[in-house]
Amino acid sequence: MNLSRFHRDMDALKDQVLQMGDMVEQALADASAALLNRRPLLARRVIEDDGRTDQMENEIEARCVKLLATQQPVAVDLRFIAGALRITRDLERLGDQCVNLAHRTIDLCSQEPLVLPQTLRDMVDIARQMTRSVLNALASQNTTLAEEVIARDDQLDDLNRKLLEEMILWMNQEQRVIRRGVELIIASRHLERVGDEATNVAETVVYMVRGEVIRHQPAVEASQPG
Amino acid sequence: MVNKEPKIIQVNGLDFYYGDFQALHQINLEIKRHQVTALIGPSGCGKSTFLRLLNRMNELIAGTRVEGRVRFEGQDLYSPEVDPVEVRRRVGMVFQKPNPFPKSIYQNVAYGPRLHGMRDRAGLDRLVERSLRSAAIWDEVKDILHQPAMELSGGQQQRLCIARAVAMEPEVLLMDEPTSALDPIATSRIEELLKELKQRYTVVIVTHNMQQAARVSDETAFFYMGRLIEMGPTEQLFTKPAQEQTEHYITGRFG
Repeated sequence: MNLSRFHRDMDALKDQVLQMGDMVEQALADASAALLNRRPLLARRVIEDDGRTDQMENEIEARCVKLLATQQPVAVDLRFIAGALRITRDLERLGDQCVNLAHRTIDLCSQEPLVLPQTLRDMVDIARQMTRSVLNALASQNTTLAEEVIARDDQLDDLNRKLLEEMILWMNQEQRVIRRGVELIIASRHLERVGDEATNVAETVVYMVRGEVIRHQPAVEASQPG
Repeated sequence: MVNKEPKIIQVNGLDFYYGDFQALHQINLEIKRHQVTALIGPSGCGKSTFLRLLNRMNELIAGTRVEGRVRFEGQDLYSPEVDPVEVRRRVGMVFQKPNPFPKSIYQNVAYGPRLHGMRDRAGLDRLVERSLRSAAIWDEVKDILHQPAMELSGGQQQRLCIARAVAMEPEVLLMDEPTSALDPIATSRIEELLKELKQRYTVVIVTHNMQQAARVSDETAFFYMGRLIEMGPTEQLFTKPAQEQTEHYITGRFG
């Protein structure tokens, strides 16, 4: 096995995974800006650009399979490749949530303008911060940062429930806002899913670095009924 | 008598010297019964030296010295009353290059048992067949048993050498890079054979091929500069080694 070549290939794989991370982060930034600033054209661009993320997922998968077939990687290299296969799928799904968010934005823009609830704005901020942090954790293979991302996911879940209550209250008071209210509930659900995907990536980063599977481990505290 | 003790070989505080050069430092490890244990590490790390200590082959080299303890079935292998010839019968060895005797296939396998006084012709026939079957070569040679072993292919010769070792009914089989001179097909036959052999014997194998260690062994020990750096279940060692030196070696980031 030609080792220096293999290590160059590993570096290239890492670069490409991070590049995909950048694309998804940009998609989330654009989808957020489109939602917050009522920009349907920007939302449309998020939808159009998603094909590149999908293609990147295929390219990374092919690269991983080739390395597995030809280099028989072990230890940290094996964990990185196994992790990269998972992470690219999670990033692709995170990208899909941006597309979903963009669809909601386009719908909302076709209706009467409304002041977006602060709860939803907070969710946008947290989802973006989690995405940013988890990509930093991936780039620097930093488990402390990854664990911080995992811990933040509960905040997003709580805000998602809070927004649902607020919307129910609002829609009860004013029937004509029901359609927009429903759109906001769905948008909030997409942001909550962004947090889930970022959490998945964070769990994989922990696996890559420490070889520990923390996914599907019983939680310390029982989760609240949803 | 069935011995239930899971450890067949126990090594404690083992030091080994070639003259003034200390080749092994304070080795402590255990070999488990009916398992394949792989010894890996860069050239000169002491793995082959260690392997040869398990059947007292090193003392054939002048100026060598052993300190510490190697226990085989609880008995000190290096105590003065132990007969090294008997040790080598109970702990057999297969070498890197196939080294059949320039005799017939049959005579190669029957040689050891005959030397140990076995004369019964029918008994020898049965032993030869059983040994060749154990080494997964019987079907290929059953009709040419009296032809010269040297006419066999390299892979067949190596399996014949395994049959020759097995004919002595050893408890442990030591293998020093047994497939390094073989092509991939012959290599995979030997690797398959290891899975069969460990049902009846305990196997300790030195290999430079880490993928081979990963494929065939239950436990792996990593040696570096005469020291045992890490030993553990193979799956764990190749996915999540405990020591950084092990990780650097198996991922090729060494030196």
